[in-house]
Amino acid sequence: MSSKIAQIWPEVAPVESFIDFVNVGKTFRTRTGDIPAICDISLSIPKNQFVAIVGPSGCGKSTLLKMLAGLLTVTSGRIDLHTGGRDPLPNVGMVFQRPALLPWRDVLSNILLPTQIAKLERPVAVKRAMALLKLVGLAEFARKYPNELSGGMQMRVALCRALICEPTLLLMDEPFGALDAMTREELSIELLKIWQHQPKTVLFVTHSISEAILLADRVVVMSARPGRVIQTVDIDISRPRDFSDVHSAAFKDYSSLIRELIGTRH
Amino acid sequence: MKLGTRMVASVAHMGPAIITSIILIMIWQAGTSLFNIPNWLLPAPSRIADALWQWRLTLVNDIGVTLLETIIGFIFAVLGAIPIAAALVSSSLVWRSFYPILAAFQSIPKNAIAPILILWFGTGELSKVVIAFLISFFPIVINAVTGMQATDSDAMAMFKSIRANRWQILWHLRLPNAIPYIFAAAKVSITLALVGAVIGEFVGADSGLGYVILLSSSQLKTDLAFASIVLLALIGVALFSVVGLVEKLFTPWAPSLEHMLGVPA
Ligand SMILES: Nc1ncnc2c1ncn2[C@@H]1O[C@H](COP(=O)(O)OP(=O)(O)OP(=O)(O)O)[C@@H](O)[C@H]1O
Ligand SMILES: [Mg+2]
Repeated sequence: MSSKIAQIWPEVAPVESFIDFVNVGKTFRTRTGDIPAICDISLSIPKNQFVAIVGPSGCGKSTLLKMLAGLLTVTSGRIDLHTGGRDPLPNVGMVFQRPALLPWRDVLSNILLPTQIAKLERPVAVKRAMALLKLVGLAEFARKYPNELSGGMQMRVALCRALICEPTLLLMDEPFGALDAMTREELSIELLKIWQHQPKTVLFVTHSISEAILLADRVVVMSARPGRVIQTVDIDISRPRDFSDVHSAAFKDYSSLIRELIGTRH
Repeated sequence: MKLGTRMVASVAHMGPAIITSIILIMIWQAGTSLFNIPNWLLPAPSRIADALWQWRLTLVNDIGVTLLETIIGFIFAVLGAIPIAAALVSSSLVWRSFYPILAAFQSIPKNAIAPILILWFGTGELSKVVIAFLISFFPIVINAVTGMQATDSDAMAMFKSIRANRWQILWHLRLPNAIPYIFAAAKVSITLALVGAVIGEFVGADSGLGYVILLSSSQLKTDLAFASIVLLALIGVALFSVVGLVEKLFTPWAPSLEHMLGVPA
């Protein structure tokens, strides 16, 4: 069958997918009964694609990321990861809504934590960490403790920590949700730069439709609980992007399309 | 901030308490002479100071004995409590096997078993060390367990996402997370250990401040008994402060006292 398609359209080589969600479902068993959180999600994500996930609160966005990171099991269906290597699990970096830094470690050791767990050589790790800190403009804060940093700075440190092991998959769960609008814009542009600099597959959960359009190659729109994929929207806005793109006609079209998709099937 | 300025700041902070104490001691002194209270009933502060000076050589020895019993008992309690707490939180089998027993032991009043411990370990220092250990051990275990379990859920998810194993989670997350909890318990426990040592000395001993209090009050040398009590209070405060200092060394990330008091650095 696939060979037949290839014969008919030889120029359309099937894009090799990195992650395949195959009829994935998740039901939480609780004392008060079963809660179906995610229902029958099928989705293919090619390597190095930036995917944003939007949807109403409680629709299972965090659950989706956690299943991918191996923090939660899948109740039905399966998630296939084509890592290429022998390790069935990819090298994952994760950023949560809160920075979740360890208060007893200074900025540098917070970033180094994943390299200690992975038993990376320290000099190499320190060099990488300092380069990342420079990239996010915090080089001179390496020896500060998290409680001496602002919320935006802490989030940057959390981002560095997620990137230190050079992950092939970056999972971000509303990473900028707790920040003020200005810091939020600054950080999304920084994230874009980092992503362009070191391409990787990103799954980015957000409540902000414009943030999703600005960042992503593809926006996955989910329905209210139990979460399903309503539609995925490919964003054809040329890169590199910056904040001037927000005012373009294409951007506004995407924005109203996604808003409509979320609104119609609540 | 220089050491000198810091000391000035801390003395300034303690100033009101010092003044209050001086006033209370003056009232006490005046009251005993005004109402002619006999020395065996309530010695005047000056008499207590006299007794302290008169008995200074033997008292130094008793201080040493009580202090040693307290500190050794306490150190063993800390050293024992932390690995036990770590084992409890790391395995649900260990938890289910031992936590209920631990909780049951905790509810036994330790002074009630002091006579038995004297019977087992003799009237020397060892039995007091055991009592000090037992009385200070449980609060530290309980708090260490609480601290190891009270980890941030996002931090725990982060550790799991980078595939940290159980030991790495224990070492890099649970243990450091428990440090403030352990110190909170240690401050209470070191005072309890002192109480434990004194109780042991009450029950059966031939030296130590508890022994001195028991002996001197039975001989109506109340001023000496009071002198020993004053020394115990000072030891208690000193031990508490030492634990507080060690805590500061161990938790450099915690906001400093000056910070919270609003004293400019
Ligand atoms: N541990 C759990 N036990 C029981 N139910 C859970 C658990 N975690 C999540 N759920 C349920 O699963 C559903 C999806 O949760 P999830 O956290 O994935 O939502 P979300 O899309 O991330 O929401 P938000 O945008 O508010 O973060 C919710 O309705 C929630 O009630
Ligand atoms: Mg969520």
